[in-house]
Amino acid sequence: MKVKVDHKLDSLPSLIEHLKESSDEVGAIAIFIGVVRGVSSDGRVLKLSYEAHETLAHNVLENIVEDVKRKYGLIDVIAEHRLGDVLVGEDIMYVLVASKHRDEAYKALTELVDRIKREVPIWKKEYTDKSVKWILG
Amino acid sequence: MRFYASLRDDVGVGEVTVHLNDQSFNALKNNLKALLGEKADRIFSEDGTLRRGLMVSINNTIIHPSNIQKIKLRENDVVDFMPAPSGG
Repeated sequence: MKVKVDHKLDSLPSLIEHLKESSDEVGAIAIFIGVVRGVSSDGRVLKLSYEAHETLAHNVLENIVEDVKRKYGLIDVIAEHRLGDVLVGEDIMYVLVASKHRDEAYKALTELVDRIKREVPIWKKEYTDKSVKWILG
Repeated sequence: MRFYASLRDDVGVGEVTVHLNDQSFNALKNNLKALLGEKADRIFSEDGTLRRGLMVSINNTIIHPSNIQKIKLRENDVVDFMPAPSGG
């Protein structure tokens, strides 16, 4: 299990390799990649800027991952979220789930992403060509 | 006390230190209201409870809203007020 809240994400191929090597029982790896969308209701997006309560964010993220890993009997999980400025098209978040079969991987991945967005104390500010505003949770 | 993200902008300050007469959350709330004036409305509802969706932690432990009146604050405690998460 690995969680990270930082200005830089690890390379996706290295994370996939890490999961493949975690156990010879791995039969499925499901991946979510959050990406900065170029358009919003307020115009053309220039960037998103992420802030966190870093200690809490790490602890909450770890608890969520442990919880979901246990619930679905997963082999391993990685969750990483970026901080600071993230430009359009760049990756914001990686969530990777390794399991024996695909069914539990899909379900766990959906639950993980939902809970991370809802519970981890990370906040984003949206910069568009028309406005700058905090996105409210 | 520290304030994060949109809440920091709303109250106009990132961090304040207060000295309390007693250890209760109400004492902290009254101090904040005296310090922030109307801006404290961003944190507390008209009935004095914490606004829905806000998160509070003390020394990096999240306090469930239902337990907030039970807390006993101590010297040097760090209380964080945070808006609802919006990551991802």
